[in-house]
Amino acid sequence: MSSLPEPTAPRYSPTNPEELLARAKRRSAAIRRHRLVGAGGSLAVAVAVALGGIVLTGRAAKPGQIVVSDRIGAAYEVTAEQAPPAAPAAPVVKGVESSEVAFSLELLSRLAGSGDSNNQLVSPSSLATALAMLELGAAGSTEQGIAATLRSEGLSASQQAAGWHSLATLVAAGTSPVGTNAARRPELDVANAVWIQQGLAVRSAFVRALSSEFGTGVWRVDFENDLAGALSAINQWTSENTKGLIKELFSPGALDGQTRLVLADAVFFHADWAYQFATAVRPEPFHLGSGGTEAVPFMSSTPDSSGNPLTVPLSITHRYTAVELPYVGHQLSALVVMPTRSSLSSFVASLTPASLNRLLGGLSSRPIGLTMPTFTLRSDNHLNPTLSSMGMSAAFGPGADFSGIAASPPLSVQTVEQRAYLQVTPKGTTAAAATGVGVSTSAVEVLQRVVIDHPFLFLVRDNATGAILFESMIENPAS
Amino acid sequence: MTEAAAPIADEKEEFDDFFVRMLPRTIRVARRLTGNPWTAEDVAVEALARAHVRWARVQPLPWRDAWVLKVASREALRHVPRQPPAPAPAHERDDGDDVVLRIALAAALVRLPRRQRETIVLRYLCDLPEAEVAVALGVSAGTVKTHIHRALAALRANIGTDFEEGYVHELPA
Repeated sequence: MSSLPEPTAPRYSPTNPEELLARAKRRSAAIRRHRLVGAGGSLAVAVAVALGGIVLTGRAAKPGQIVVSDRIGAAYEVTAEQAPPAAPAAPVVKGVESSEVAFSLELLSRLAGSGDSNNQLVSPSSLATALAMLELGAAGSTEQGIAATLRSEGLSASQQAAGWHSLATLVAAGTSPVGTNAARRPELDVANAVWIQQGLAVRSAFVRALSSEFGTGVWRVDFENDLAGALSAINQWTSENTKGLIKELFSPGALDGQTRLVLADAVFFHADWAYQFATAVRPEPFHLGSGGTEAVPFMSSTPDSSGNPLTVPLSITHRYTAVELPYVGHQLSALVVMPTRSSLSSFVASLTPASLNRLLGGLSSRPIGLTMPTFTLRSDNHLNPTLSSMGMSAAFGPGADFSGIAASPPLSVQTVEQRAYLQVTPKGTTAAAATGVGVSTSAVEVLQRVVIDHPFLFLVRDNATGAILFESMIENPAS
Repeated sequence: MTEAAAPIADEKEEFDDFFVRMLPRTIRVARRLTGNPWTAEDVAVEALARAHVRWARVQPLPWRDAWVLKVASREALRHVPRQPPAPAPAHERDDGDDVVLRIALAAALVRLPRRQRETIVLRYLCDLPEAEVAVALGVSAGTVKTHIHRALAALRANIGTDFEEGYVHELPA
C-alpha cells in the first residue's frame, strides 16, 4: 500500500474559461431553482400557457407575466412570477421520507431480481421525483398505481409534492452552492424540467404545481416536427445538469413524433470523504458472488496526521459487515454493507425499512483499518417492466388517466429510463483528514480489520432524513 | 495604467460570447478587491451566472458590462473583512504593505455608502469612463463627480493617501 502524498500549498492556475462558463450556467440554474423553491417573497415560477402573452423583450416582467427565460436550440423555457407554496406539515415530510426509503429498497430488490449477478446502479431519489411529478397529472387508478409504486398511498399527490419539496430543501441544506471553488462540502445539484409539445394545452394547475413544488423548468419543444431538435435540447439540458457525466437521457427510439411531454430530473453529487484513503499499489483479489476472484484496485484507510486510525460507525454481525463512511460535513454518508452468509441479491431482497433501521441502529464508532475496492459504474435502466411490476402498470396502458396533465388527447407513459454514473475513489483531501475524528479515538483499542472483498451494497444517504440518493449493488467492481 | 478600451458590446451578443469577453475583466476586478485568485474566479462566475439568470433583461442593456462589474464588485466586497488591518507607517513600507493596503482599501470601500462605493469601484477598479458609470448607475455625470469627490474624501480620512499612489490611479486633484 502506498500512502497519500504530503499536502502542499495550492498553486493558482487559471481555470479553463469553458469550465467556468459551464460552472456559471450550472450556478444560474441553481439560482433559478433556489428562487423557485426558496421561501418567502415573490418567486419566479414557470407556468405553461399558450404562446400568446409571452414577453420576448428584455424588460422586467410584471407579476403573472410570462417571459422567455432561457433557450436551448429551438427549445425555450418560460417563467412567470408566482407566490411560493405553503410549507407542508411535519407528518407529510416524514411520510415522504419513509416512502422514499421503502421505494428505494423495493426498487433495488426488483432490479436485483430482474437479472443475473450483475452490478446494479440506480438513483431512487431521482426516479421518485420524476414519478411524483408524473403523479401530479394522474387521476383515478393511474394515480393510485403510481402512489403504490412510490409506497406513498397515504399521501395525496399534492401532499407528496409538498413533501418532496421540503425533503429536497432539507437534503440540500448542508451542501455547497453549485459553481464555487469552495468544495469543502458535498455538492448536490438537483434539476427538474418538463418538456411540452408546442400546441398541447397543458392544464395550468399541473405545471404550476410542478413549478412551485419541484422547481421544474417548463420548456416548449416540437417532438412532432423536430424530434431531433427536441432530443438535442433535452440531452444538452441533461448534460449541463450532470456536469457532462450523462450526455443522453433517452435511448434511440425511446421517443418519437407521438411524444407529447417529457418529465426529467437530473442530479449531480460530489463529495470528498471526510477521511483520507490510499490506493493499493497493486490490484488485489475481489471474491465474486458467482465464484472465483477478480483482481481490482483497492483503497485503504490511512491514519490522520496525528497517527489516529479511521474511526467510523461499524457493525459486524453473523449476517453482514456494515460500515458508514461520512463525507466532508458529515451530513451525507456512504453505507457499505457486505453480506457474509447470503448472496448480495438475496440479502437485498430481504432488506426492509425496518431491517435497514436496525442495521443503522447497530452501528457504533470504532477505529478500523478499512480496505475496499474503488470502482466506476454506469447504468442504463429501462424501467417500464420494473415499475409495472411495482404497481403502476395502468400508467403504461391505453386506459391510463392523465387528465390532470391535459384534457386531450389521452396520454399514457411511453418510457421510463434512467442512466446513472457512480465513481468511488480514494479522494480525500488533506483538510478532510484534519476534521479531528482522531480526537475520539482510544489509542488502546485494537483496530478492527474490515476488508470489503465480496459483493456489497453501496448506498449514498442523507443522515438526517434517511433519503437514499444513490444505491448500488457491486457484484464485480471490475466489470 | 489605464487599460485598453474593452470591445464594444454587440447589441445582439449571445451569452456565451459575453461570458468569454467579460470573464478576464471580471476576474481582474474581483482579484483586486479580494486578493485571492480562487475567490476571484468564484466571484466572476457568480456575477456572470446572475447575468445568465436575467439574460433576457440584461442582454439589451447598453451598460451590461458595467452591470456585471457592479455585481462582481458587490460580491467581491462580501469576501472582504469589515475591519481593516492597521497600515504600516510610511517609512516602514515593504512589499507586504501592498497587500495590507488592498485589504484596507477594500474594507474602507465596504463602509462607504452604497452609491459612493459603486461609483468608486466602477470608475477606478473597473476603469469605466465617468459617462459609462453615470449610465450604469442611472445618474448624471455631475452626480458621479459628486460621489467620487465625497468617496475619495472618506477614503483619505479612513486610510490616508497611500492608496492613491499605487492602487487607484487617475485620481482627480
